[in-house]
Amino acid sequence: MKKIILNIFNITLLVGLMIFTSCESDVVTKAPDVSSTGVAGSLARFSVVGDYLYVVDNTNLNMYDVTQADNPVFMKTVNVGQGVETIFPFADQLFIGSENGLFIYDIAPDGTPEYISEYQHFTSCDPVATDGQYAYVTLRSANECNLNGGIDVLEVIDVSDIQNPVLMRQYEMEGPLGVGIRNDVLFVCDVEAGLKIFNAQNAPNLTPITTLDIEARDVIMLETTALVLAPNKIFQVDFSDINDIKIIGSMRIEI
Amino acid sequence: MKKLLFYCLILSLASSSCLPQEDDLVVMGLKPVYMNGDWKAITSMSPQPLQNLGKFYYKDEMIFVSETRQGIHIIDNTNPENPQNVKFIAIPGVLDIAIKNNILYADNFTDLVALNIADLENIEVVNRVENLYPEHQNYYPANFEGYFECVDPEKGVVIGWEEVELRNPQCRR
Repeated sequence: MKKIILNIFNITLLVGLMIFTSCESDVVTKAPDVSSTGVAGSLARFSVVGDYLYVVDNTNLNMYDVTQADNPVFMKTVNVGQGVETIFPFADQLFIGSENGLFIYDIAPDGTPEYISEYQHFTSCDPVATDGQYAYVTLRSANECNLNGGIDVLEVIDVSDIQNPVLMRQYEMEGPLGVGIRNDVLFVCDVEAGLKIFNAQNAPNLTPITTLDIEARDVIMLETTALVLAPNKIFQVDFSDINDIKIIGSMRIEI
Repeated sequence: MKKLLFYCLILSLASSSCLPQEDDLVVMGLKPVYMNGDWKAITSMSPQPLQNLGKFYYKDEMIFVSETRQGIHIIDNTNPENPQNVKFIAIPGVLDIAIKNNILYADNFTDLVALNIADLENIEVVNRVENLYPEHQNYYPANFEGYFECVDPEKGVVIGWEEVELRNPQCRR
């Protein structure tokens, strides 16, 4: 009798283990593996995602196969629009900033970019960053970006339904460029007006935390620090504690 | 008679090209800066000052930042309190950077170059793909509205633009 109970117990245990382990193998993470690629600023025109290098060139999104990293091979071109300026990868999507709007593309298994949706905006330069829930787009009216006047704002766009991006909020800025979001902390590089930092926990409502006196043009958000690009310096900002955001290093190397 | 002579003089001067004509257009605009020499030459050298930074990229505690249209600074950020500017790679016309494994991709005017950066003391070009960007993008200043001096390809590749006073510029965007 004991032997039978033991056997039933063992079999149940074995079956249970099999069920749990097989479920685990079905889980596919959407987070991109950046260990082989690193990360770019939001003003980038190049982006490496997996085995593909994407390059935007004012009207097109060009795709190169870099399965063999030292042998890039041009694959195809997808026409996006006018004034295409920036590219921001997120999961298996590409967020493309152009002077007319934000274009969102899906990366198919073979690397081909496939159009999903777009959000049109007033003609301006626009870098974009996203955390998958909201896309943060800066619009800048400076002469180099807009030929007919324009606006200087930060737009918060709901992209939780990727097929249907919706503008939720607009915040006035002076002349913003790069933008970054990480752990609900939003960095907006408002150049001469400084580095503006917001708490985005209640996005689309943003709460200003502080403005640092840095001529910030672009930003790369790392885990707890951000690299901020100024015209001739790079600053590093620790944002691990939103009540004590501080600059930890600046670099202007004189040789 | 003297008065007549005087008036004739003025008239002849006015009608000559010595004096500015009424319909001369003198305006501030951009003039192309040409690069002499081989624009495809990529050279690794000792660290250079950060002056006109463009785009940047981070991987494995290293920061790569472009010196607009000149090259890429490589900065060792292992200790963020004390980053070290360790190398400069001169790449004419460069703006953008991306990396996969030990291969760094950069634009070299209208070409895409792939550099092996596994050993910073021996950085080498391992591949080059032409026609990354349409050629014509070199012939006018990007993101600019105004007058500029037309590009003359005979003079070489355009490495940048400088703001100058132009007289009767033939090109405009």
